[in-house]
Amino acid sequence: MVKKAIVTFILLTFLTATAMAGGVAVTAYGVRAVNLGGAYRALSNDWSGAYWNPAGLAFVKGWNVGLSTSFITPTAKLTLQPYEGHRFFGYTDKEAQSVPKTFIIPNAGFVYGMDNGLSIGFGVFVPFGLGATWDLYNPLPGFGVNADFPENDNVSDLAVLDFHATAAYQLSDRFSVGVGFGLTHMSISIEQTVITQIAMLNPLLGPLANAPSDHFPTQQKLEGSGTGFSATFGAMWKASDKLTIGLAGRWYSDVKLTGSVLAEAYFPSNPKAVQILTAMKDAGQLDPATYQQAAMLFSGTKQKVVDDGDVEASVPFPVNLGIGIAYQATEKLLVAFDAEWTQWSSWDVIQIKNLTDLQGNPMDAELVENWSDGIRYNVGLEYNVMKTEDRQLDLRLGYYFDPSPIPPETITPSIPDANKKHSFIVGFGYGLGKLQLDASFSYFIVPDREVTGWVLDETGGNENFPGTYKINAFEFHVGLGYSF
Amino acid sequence: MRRGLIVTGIFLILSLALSGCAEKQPTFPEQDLRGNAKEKGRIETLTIQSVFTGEEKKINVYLPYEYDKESSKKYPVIYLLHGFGGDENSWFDGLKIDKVVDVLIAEGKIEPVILVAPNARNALGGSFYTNSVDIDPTRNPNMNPKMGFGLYETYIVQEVLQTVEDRYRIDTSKRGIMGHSMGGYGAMKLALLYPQLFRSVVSHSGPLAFQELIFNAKSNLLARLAMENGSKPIFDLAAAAADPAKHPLTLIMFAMGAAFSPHFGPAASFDSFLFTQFPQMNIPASQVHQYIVSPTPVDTLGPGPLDDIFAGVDLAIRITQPGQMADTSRTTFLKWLAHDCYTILATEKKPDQSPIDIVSFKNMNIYFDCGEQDDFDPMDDGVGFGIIYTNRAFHELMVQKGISHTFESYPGAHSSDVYYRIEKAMQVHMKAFGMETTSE
Repeated sequence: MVKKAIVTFILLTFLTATAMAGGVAVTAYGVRAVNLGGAYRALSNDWSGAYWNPAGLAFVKGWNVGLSTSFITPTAKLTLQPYEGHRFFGYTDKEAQSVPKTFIIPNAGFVYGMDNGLSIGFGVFVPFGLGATWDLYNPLPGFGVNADFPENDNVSDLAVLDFHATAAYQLSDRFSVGVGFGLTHMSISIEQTVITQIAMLNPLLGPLANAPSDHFPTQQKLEGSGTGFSATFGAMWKASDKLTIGLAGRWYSDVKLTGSVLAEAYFPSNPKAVQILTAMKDAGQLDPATYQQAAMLFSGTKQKVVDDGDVEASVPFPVNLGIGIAYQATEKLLVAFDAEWTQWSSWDVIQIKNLTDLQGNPMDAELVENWSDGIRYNVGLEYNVMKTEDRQLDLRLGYYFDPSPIPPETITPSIPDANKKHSFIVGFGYGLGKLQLDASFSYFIVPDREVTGWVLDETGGNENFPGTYKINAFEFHVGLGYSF
Repeated sequence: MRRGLIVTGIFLILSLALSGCAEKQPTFPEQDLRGNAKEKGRIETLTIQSVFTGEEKKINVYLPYEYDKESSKKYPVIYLLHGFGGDENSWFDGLKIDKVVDVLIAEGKIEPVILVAPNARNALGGSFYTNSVDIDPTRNPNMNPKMGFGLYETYIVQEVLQTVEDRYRIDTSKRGIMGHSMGGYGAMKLALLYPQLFRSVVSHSGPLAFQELIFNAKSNLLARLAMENGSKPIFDLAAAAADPAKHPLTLIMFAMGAAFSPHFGPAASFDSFLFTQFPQMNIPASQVHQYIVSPTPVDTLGPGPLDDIFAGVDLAIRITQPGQMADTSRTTFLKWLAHDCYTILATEKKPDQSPIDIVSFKNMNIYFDCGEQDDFDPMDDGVGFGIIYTNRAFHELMVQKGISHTFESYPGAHSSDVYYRIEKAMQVHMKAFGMETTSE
């Protein structure tokens, strides 16, 4: 019976990992692009174009190098829905707040445009990342376990780095194409609580499993890393002197993750149940092995149930396709618009391999996710305030709307943006000779999301966290560019 | 170089500003990492020589954390009645009510309160909080606790209340009563009989309408009672005492018989045995109880031979087809109904047929709940008494009578979720005491 529970919480570990990645597809590559809301597929005319549309790099002449840093501060509050009129086991019934944390995400790259129309570039960017830290769970009063439960029990940290080389070619004055190839590296650390209801684990124990000893939490921790590949492709067409259209796509291979899983169960103390089980064993109604397992469930002890340093998983990442339009409305005003589609539905099945229990028995499993594809809309305005021979000041406004791909059935608080979000960005770019300084501030409006209905797995653990999600996030982006 | 320093400075300032912009807010500031409150109340155990039960009885008293720090403050009190087979420890060891109340007080969800859990267990495992006497001038001239009798109703409302309220700083205008299972029945019954004593009553999984136990269309108790006793034509108390787990219904029937239909008059013959011969009954060594038992009917003075089971107790149930079916003895069942909450409320008469104080009862804050799986299936909780049907019937009667109350049913069996209902129960009492908190 313990083996079955382990499969459940391993599945949930990976659920969290993928959910978090999906919730925070990072928009942080190139401050100008960020400032324009990501409406950059028809521009992409600096080092950051490797991410947005490699075809844009073909219109860069000479060297352009840059770096940017994003400071992203998401905070979330969650009031969990009652479960059958009370708290969901040890989960809080109060409004919980994620531990405040600022993520600092660096990006860098360069492009070199040659006279023959060929441009080459290289960049390092973070397409997926972030995480969250919560104190959501505490054993119920009187639970009786003889060990302290971790204070922060729901902790996630994920980063995907893409080392990306790009080549672009200007086919004509108005048309270019570009491709890129990258090596991705994923690192992940996930800690989460998983509930097992004893009566659902073994119905025969139901009469003994009275609250608060009707369940036990298992604290699980996954750490791992892996590599994969990425590819980008794009085309850009300058339809007129004022109008440019860009098409671009990004593809990621599955990341082959290897790592470790540690899981420790905290069992309730129920001496009366143990007494009854002992009497049944003594009367020959329980065999010793079954007795040992059943009695452990009410022992009031902390027990390690998985300690596997060689776990494998295949984590998919979604394809992204986008089209952008940039229009130079006046000499000073640039307007850009993008629409992009992300194949979040690629996270339908997560494969977990080579997992074993403490006895070395295999525990392969998979998880069905059911995320939905999403279309994001980006709008950007850039207004030139001042321009001299060696100085230039541009003010920018951006906006984008991004739906949440996560259905109520799998939502978890590890996702900083659990709902559709509206992002408003203000900033500027200041050119000083060959140097370019850009900065922007993003503020997110995320409507509160109400999720109803606990979804339980076969042993009574929760597959989602229904309740009221309140999300708040803002970002600072600063960047430097240099052309020569 | 200077530009580089400026840019570096911007990065540093932003980084520091953002990193320090908020502090962690603990989610469980009042609890330790094992879930218990940091500020804990304490439990005292009182021992009294109970005149009304004829036994030494223990009472557990929970005192909130601040009790010892406040020298003059008086506290509301809630009396906790345990279930069949339980004792003064049941609410604390099994339902962990002290741990829950510690946290509720610490979180400000309820005001500090004193909890009192008396022992009302008798020789058969449960007294049903009922006055029951079997005093025979020859056979049994005194109170006879060793046979499962005693004035348990009076014991609670007089001895326990007086003992506790004389000893502790209790605001007697804020008195509540609650119970689980047999204790839920007891709480509601005592609320019906003594509504002027209590401001609030809570019953968890209490059998509140006896007729539903037997006559509900889904009831299988009669057949299960017969099956429990195998091919025997009688209810075998000796076998039930030897293996209570296999004969729970038989034991409870005897306990109900001892409570509601004690037999007055001499017995022709009887055997006796010591309960301490049966460790499964978990009876303290200090209580060496004897009970009358016989393999054959001995009482011939009743309305007919079919109700003549054992001297000392008339059972309302009799086996008609050994191993298959039983039925009821109407004459005896009517005695049981006199103690039935549903009947008491429907007739507005006490067991002695004097009127109840219905006006005071209506002024109480009344709450009862029951698990939807507290049905006639014993597999999920080992009970299978159909308590949910008794609660629904009682609820319908309350509605018919226009009595304000709250009834809740929930997914759960007889005992599985009572722990989770404690917070709700405490809020009911607090509301009755005029001590509602904003978090309710």
